Amino acid sequence: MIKISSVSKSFGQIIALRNVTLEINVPGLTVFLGENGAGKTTLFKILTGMLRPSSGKVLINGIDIQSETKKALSLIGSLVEQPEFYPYLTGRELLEFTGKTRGLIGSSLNDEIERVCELLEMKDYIDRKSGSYSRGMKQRLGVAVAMIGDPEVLILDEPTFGMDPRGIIEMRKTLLKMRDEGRKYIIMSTHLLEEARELSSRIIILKHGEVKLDSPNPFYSNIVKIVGDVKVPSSMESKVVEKGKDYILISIDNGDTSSIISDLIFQGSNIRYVLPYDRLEEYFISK
Amino acid sequence: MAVIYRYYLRNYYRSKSFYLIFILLLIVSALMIYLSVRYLPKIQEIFPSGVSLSSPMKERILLYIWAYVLSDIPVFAAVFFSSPAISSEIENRTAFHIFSLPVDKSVLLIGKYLASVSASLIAMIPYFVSEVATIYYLFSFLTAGTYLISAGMVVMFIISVSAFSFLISSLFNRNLYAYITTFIIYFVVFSSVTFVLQLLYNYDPFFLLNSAASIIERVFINISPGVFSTNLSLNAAGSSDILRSLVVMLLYTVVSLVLSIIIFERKEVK
Repeated sequence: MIKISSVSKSFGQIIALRNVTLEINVPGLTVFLGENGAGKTTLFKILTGMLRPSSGKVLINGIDIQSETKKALSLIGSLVEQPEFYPYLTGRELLEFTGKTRGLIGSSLNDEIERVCELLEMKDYIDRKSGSYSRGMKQRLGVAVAMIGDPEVLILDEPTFGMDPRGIIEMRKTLLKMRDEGRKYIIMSTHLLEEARELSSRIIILKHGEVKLDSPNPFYSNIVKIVGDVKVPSSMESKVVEKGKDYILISIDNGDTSSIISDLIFQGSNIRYVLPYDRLEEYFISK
Repeated sequence: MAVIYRYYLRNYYRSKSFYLIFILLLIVSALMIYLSVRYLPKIQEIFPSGVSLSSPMKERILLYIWAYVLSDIPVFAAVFFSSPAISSEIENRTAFHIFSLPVDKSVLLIGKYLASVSASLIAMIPYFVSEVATIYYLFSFLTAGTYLISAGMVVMFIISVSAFSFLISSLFNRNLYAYITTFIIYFVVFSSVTFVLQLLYNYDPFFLLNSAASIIERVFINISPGVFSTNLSLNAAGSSDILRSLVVMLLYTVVSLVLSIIIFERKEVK
């Protein structure tokens, strides 16, 4: 569905993307992680035709985004950076405007606006002019604009940015629901590792404009972190991945955590807590 | 195109800029009504005692004054509505929304341009209405043909100056630069070129937009206070003058819009 071939982008001397090649062929939620300046937003702008790559090509369902922008964009709903909207139009008018450009008219347009407003809980302020919206409201409107017309591809750049905790929870639920329906190709970026862990079916880490990791999620789910005064019996030493001052990382090949805990307690360990462990942080930092 | 036009126009006519220019034009209209009523008896005084002005001549002089005052207003309207038209999409970050729509950029630009022209025209309605009503009140007649030509040239001037402002706007990503550049080009560059060419070479730079726009008032009396020429008179400008101004404005419109579209198509949102 989405094919990124050897895409590079430079801004003068600054290289924002270096030879990025990726394919997203399975519906699901692909999360792009990376520090500020890693190239996530630049890549998203290229995916939505807002920037031209210095070299390389992006195909959306076989359509070149550069040469057939309009056709490719008809398949995409996007929220890039933190958009602003025409301040004297209401949220509803902006959704109508967007919907009409995507070919929706009459009752199908109204139904679609209602669906999106309900999904994103925007009914209270949808008829207010967008100039009066808070950052969080604008962000929801941005997501609504991306979702209207039910496009096959959703590109969301930090969709929970600026939202209150309730909004973040609701947005994550919505994204999870869409991911689990398995119809859409959702691409999003985030700085929040737990968000990536919770939502993604695939994680891609960008650093200095290059793909440093491209992995399905869950991410190393066979390791647990046991925190406390842990005494490891010699029979278990081979399973220990890492030993710290007050913790161990231990591999649980058969998923049998309880028997390992029992053995450790029997050995005289004082266990404070046990956590599922993945190496996402480690990868994120080290890569 | 209709969708783009409709929503842009709605955003324009609800804006503070629109109300500001609308109110300013109401004030100018009121001042012009006052001036017309007070000035009419004094028109005769500015001419030598032997010259007797007929009523149609007085009507033309008043229409000339109304048109002369009006002729710079489209520039202000263009500065308000058109100068930031493209730069604001980048500066105000609305480009992130509109550039993601499955719409050709040329359609976005033309839709916005037509909305901007319409907003300028709507804002000028009070002035046109006041002008017609005042002249009719004072003279009980209106030379409709000449008036319509002048009004048509105002519309053409709005169309061309808006297109020219769109071109300037497409060159910048900051509204302020677009505002200042439009003002400087129109009021400083064009005016000084006109002055230099006329004073030094007695040449009328008909190809400049401000010079072409002077036809708005010259269809009544062929005098332009900024023009140093011996060929001017109390007669109206001829049809060749009108046609030449029309062609100049048309060329500005077409060239500016084509260049704006080319630049806008290549615009990136960094």
